[in-house]
Amino acid sequence: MAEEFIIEAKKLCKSFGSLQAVKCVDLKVKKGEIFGFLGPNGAGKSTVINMLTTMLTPTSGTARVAGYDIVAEDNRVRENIGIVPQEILLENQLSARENLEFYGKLYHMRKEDMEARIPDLLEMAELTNRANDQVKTFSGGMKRRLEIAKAFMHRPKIIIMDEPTIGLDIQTRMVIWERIRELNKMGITIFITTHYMEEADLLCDRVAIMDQGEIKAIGTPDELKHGISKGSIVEVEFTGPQEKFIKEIGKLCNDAKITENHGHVVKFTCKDPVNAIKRIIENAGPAGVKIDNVSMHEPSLDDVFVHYTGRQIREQSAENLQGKFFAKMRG
Amino acid sequence: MSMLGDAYTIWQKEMQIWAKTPVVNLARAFMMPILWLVIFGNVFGGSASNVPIALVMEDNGYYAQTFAHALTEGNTLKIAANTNYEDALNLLDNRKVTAVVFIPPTFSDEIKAGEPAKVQVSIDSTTPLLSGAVEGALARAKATFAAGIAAAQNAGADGAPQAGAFAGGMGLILDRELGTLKMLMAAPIDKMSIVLGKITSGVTQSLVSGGIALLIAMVIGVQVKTGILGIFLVFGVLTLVAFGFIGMTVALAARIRSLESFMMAVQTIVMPIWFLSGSLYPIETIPAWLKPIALVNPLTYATEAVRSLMIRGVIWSTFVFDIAVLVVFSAIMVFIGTRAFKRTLE
Repeated sequence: MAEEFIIEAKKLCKSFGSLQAVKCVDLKVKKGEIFGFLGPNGAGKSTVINMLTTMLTPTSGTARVAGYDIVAEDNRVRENIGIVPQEILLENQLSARENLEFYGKLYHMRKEDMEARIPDLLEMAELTNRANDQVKTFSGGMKRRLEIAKAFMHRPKIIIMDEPTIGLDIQTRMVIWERIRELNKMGITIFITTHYMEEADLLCDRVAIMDQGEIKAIGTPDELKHGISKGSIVEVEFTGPQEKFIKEIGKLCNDAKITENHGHVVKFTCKDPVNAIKRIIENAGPAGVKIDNVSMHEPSLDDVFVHYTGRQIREQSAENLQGKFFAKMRG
Repeated sequence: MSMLGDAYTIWQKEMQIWAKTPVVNLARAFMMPILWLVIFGNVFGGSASNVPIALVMEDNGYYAQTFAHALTEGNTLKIAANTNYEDALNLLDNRKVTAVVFIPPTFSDEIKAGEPAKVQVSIDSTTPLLSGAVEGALARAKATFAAGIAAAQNAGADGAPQAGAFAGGMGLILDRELGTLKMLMAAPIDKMSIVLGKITSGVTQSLVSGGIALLIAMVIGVQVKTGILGIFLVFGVLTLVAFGFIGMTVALAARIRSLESFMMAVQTIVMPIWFLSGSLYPIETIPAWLKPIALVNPLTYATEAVRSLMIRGVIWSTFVFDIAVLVVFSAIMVFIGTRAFKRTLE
């Protein structure tokens, strides 16, 4: 029987000392889908990935990947997954071809099989004419493409990608999305973490949002977007008495749900945004408020993310970096 | 595939990387022994040669003769006058000679009695290079006299530990910094094979360095006293030393995260081990309080074993003891190293 779920985690937990990094997560990934795994830094995404790739042993719970138990059959799991890590893990001194050869040997591929496969992979990575050059002479995008091709070398059933497009320019990212789609068309399940919401939206069949060690939401991007709002999102920027005006908005459109409140900027969802905007503008003067800007948009994964985690992913990571920087200065 | 097969894959990759920079690696392999020969052999002698000295021999016994002979070995010193004490001092005052070496009448007797024998030296220190040359030549003469061999002849013995130390542990730290270790850990291979592959590639690289050092030693005229068998045994000793030291650095690499700290730790450990092994200076000439360290230093036994093979000729009972010490040392270090590193991988 073909297994419908190629990754299946049941009550998967991981603690480091008193810190519960992953709190009993249930997760099912369908065979052949592109599954996005989103969450702010420190949400526990990497811990889940490390458990699924058998690099970490769970504190409790189980998971099966490609039909094998991640603890009891770890080597079988490893044989069936390809990993595209966040950082480039190529041997800089070796050529593209030698890197692929070494990787193939590590996965116990037969020599003939490797020889047949390497030219295809080099072509896929658009590195055929650079095959014998040392990797250290490659650009970031070239290394990335080789890294992805490498993960594909031993014909894994699943490829797990940790932020594969981080720090790349938009053209390179689009090329990589194309590669990912091609791999997926060949029947490979893709499990991908990303910081880029539009990437998840464009690329993924389903996404899960993780925060504070728990999976907060899981579904197709459309399901998630409609799950937080039946209508559109309205953003109002204004000057004047804040609290009073925000209460006013609630009264003006009775299905309005405030999603973000930064004082002078308020975001809310409602079914009839055009009517809501009209009323807000009409009532602004009497309420002593000057409207600076009004906009509306369909909900995006960004909004979904904010809805479930209470913060924007980029804001959060910028703060995080800043925090780390100051901690370092102090420390 | 077996663990050994996986270890071989990793060994192969490490050697492939090593072979990518042949110039750097060969230079390193060549430079070390040449540095030892040129610098440590001559650092006290400068480039001076045939520096004139006056010799005052009040003892003509066998040991005094041998010592006098050792003075002129290497042509740094030239005995310009063999005279009495007063004339010698006059020559020194008139700058005809740079130093006076006075061998007292009791010299040979003291040595025969197993007591420390003294020679008196007066040096004209107005010319630092020349007086340095005299001191250096004297130091070497003493070394020659005491250990029976010249310091410069040991180049072949000492290539392994230094080269090996860096090859083994540094590779692992670099791998961790670069993340390549993560890739190895995600592969369907036994973690033991990673450590094993790293250690064996380090040993191989050390043996190549040691081999080159040996070759240089032979080219400059050092003959291996025990012949072809001796050369094989020298490589056996080098292999043991390399396993021991690489095991040690792998254990360090398991504990130390940054490359800088690692280099410092290795230097802190390797330099004293090296200096107190009798490899550069005879153990007989080091201060008494340092001697116990030299006696528990495994490299002392390696140096002793290689020298007996190459220069002195083997006394089998001593040789077997040296080898036993090295086997125990290497086994312990490889055990500690693999265990410590395996633990960090889990």
